[in-house]
Amino acid sequence: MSNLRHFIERVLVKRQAQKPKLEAVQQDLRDLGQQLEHLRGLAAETSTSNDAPPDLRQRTAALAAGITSLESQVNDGIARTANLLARFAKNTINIGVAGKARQGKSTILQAISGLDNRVIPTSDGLPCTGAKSRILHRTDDPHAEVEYYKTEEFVREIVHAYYEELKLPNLPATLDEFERSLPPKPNFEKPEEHAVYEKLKDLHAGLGAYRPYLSRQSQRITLDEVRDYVSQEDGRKRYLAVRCANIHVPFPNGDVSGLAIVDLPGLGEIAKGHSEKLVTSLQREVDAIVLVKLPSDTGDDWFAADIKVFNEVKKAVPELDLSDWLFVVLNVKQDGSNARQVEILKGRPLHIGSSPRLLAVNCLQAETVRQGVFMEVLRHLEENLERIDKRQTSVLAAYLTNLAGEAAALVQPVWDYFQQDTAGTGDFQKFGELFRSFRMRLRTNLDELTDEYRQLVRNKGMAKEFGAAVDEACDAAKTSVPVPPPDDLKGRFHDLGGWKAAVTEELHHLRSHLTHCLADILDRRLGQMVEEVRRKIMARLMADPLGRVLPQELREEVDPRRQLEAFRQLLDKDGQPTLHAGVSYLLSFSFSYQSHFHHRVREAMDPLDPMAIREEGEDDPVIAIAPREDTAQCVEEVGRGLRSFYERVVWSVRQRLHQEMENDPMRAIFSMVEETRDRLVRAREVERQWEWLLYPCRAEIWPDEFNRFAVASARRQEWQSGIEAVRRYAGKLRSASA
Amino acid sequence: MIDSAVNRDRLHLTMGANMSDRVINMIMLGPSRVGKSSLLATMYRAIGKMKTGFDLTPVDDTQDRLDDAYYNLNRVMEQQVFAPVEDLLKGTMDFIEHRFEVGFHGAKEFDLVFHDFRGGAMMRAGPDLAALREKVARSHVIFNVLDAVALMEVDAVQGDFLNGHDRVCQLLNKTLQAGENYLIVFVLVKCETYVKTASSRERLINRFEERHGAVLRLIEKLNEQNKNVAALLIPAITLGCVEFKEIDQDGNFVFERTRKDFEPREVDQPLRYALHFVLKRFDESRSVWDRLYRWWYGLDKAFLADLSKFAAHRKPDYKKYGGPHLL
Repeated sequence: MSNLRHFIERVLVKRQAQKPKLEAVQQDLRDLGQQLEHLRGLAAETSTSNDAPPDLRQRTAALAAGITSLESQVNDGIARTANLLARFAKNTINIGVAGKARQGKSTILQAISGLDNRVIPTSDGLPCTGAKSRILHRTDDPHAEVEYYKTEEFVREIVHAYYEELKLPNLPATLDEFERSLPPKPNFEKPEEHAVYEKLKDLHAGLGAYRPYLSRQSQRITLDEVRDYVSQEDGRKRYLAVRCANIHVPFPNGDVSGLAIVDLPGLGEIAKGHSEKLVTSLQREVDAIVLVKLPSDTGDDWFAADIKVFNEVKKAVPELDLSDWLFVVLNVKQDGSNARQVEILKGRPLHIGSSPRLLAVNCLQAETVRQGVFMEVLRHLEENLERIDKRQTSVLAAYLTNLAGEAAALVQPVWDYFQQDTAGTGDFQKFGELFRSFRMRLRTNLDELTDEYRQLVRNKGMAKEFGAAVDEACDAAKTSVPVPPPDDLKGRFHDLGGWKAAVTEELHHLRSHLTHCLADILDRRLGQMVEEVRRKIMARLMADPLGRVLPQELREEVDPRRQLEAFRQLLDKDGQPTLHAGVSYLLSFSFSYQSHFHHRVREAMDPLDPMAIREEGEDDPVIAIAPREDTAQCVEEVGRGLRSFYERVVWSVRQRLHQEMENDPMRAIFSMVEETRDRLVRAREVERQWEWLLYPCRAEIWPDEFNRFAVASARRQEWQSGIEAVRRYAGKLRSASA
Repeated sequence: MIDSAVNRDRLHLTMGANMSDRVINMIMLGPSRVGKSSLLATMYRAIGKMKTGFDLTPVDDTQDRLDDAYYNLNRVMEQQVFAPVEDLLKGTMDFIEHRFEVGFHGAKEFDLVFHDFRGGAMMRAGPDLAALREKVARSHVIFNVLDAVALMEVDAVQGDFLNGHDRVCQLLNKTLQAGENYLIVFVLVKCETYVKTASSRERLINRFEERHGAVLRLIEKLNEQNKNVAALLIPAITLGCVEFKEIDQDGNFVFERTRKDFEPREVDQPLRYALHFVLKRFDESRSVWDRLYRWWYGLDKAFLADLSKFAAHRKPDYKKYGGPHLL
């Protein structure tokens, strides 16, 4: 026992390690539940649909019938997982102590915890402890923390429990409603129902006393105050608002950190809500139960009430044998008057298929209790708790495996039906015919367009258009010669200290102005030319029927880029890489003055570049323009020289663009058309990519042809995806259980 | 093929009994307004300064016409920006002969006739073209004047219209004869802008060879067969102080005066090559008695010495085509 603390730590660590897995299982079960719900709706729709084949209707009806049962198993699985999760998530190992009034439960609790009557009241009459309390080992700072019910929680768990047990009308939704009036007492058939109703009346009458405590934050109190919060003696009502009192005290049996003793009220009590909470405690909170029974000295037996308690424990956690976790303490009276009865009970078989451990002790003898009960339970836990945990885990795993198998089996017939692809066969044949026709038309369309542009290249078709753009740009440059007026030019002369510097600066301005004019106008015109070709490509690409894949508002869109962008969004980059790349290429194609022409005409601008390296014989513009006499009076001559150089350069640039580059836009545009054609219809594998793209949207593209297939196809798709999800979750559950 | 009348004429001119009666023909070939007369005027001015025993003397009203042409050229150039569109040939005449006497040490050797014409005649079918063809057939030196701006600044179609590449080729193809020697001088005028640097000069020559390729191929072909045609390309800077600016909306070539001085360069070279060619041919064609007479008085050696001196003033670095032995 010296390693008790280490043992507790080890068990807790192992339990914590199971948490993520259990949480994942819980989520999978929830998702499975949702999918089953979805399939139920689908099955209801399909099984009553006239256009569904009879075989399918039959199979889906059978599936719908099976779903109800499976759903209840899923819910059960969720509850089981939640219980185990709660059990494994605890940070203590808990021993529950239960017993009817006057059996010695409080005495045992006192003996184990070392607490006295001030904290754990004992009574000779009615049940003394009204609220659940948990006693934890702590060597310093003895105190208690009181947790209260939230108001709505109280209404739901306590008030409703009475109403439901008594089948009372007008279930109150709020505490105010409950407070306003209590339904009159009906004519109960069972005698105990009268007693329960009386308890409800007490609950109603005492509301003013405990109501202020509902929904309060946890409260720290001294040990002396505990009794006021958990006891129902002397007409105390506050305990009704208490969900649990956690009492921290040093146990007399050494360091048992990580161990808690839970006082479980409610066993055999009339008060409603308590027995439900007891079951929950058994399932989630308690690792061992100590049930105290004081045999009567006038003769006793295992009565029906005892058997009922054992059955409740068994039912709460059916996978465990009672001997695994239930200890029945037969309380031997101080005077030994019931010793004979204790012996008799110990030897009498229970006939319940499973036997709890029976311990006979005199509860008033604290040391005897500690040795004969507490240490006995601890020893048992040390030897068996890990095995018990494993047992619970494996039982859940088996349950989940079975559940997964049933889920898979349930959907299999419908899955088989759709695997035969009866709905898709005719559909695909039709698609094949239409697709071949589409592909041929698209190819012809793009081939024609490519040929059209090939002819244009041959006939220098667009040269005139670009030539006009060049003339426009050069005319604009020439019209706006940025040579400053004479006075300004004189100013430059004075500022810069001579004509050479002034001319140098002006030449840079002139060159920059010319480049700007050219870029501005040519880029606009080139952009228009490219846009026009894009429009033509899109007109051929998006001609019916493919255009129907675009959103309605984009079908008549004037801007081809928007159409292209929308079409690209329909493409899967991984699934249709060539198509995606082709559309991206077409979308991003650009042709600008700066990127294609400027570097080629730049040399012609050298006369406007004072820094240019010149050949022998070539005029240096600064020397040619700056007058020999460096005086301001020569301003006209300088202006004339600048203008003259500028105009000559404009001419040279114009000539070079006309003579050497006039056909370049045409060639570039032809290459764009051809490349687009190649990528969209000529590239390897692209045909398959078109097929993958069009098949899912065939009903939109060829509505007349696929209307009759559309419903079946949509149904098939929905069923397949629903069943696939169920199979997927079933697989996950099976894996988690392995 | 040329007709028999032309053949007879050629024989008479070259084989006349009295040497001083001889006439040697040259023709200025080129379309309208290319600058044929301007070239002749500036060539004559430039050649006038040659310091040899040979004399080139204009006869009749040749001097006046050339002076007028030269005056007009200068007048146009006085403007800052100008387009030399005015025809320098006055009146309505389509053909004109500029006649010179060529003498050696004061004695006339032969007459030299430059046949000039309105360029339109070259480009139109009809009587003018037939007359032109006849004159070309009589000539042993053909100056083919080409507009450098038309070579460099306009497209091939327009260039052909302005420089008549095809028409020149057709004319020569129909008139050049085996058994006769010819010199063809391609003179590029208005070329100031394009001969400033070595690379721009090279571009100009390349463009000439590209556009005028058919003529050059014809020369090579005739020369392969008969070894009787020599040709060279001379970019002649007739003004030196202008710069091509642009082509205006009416298609006129617009030039600007630069700050450089009026300084024609290499303008004498076409005529110098031409005179050297004809003098040499003339000397080779003398009769036996004439040779004997000249040998007796030592005139033959003096003639050759001065011819050699005259040749030394020719610049050698022009692009040449055909048979160099004839130069």
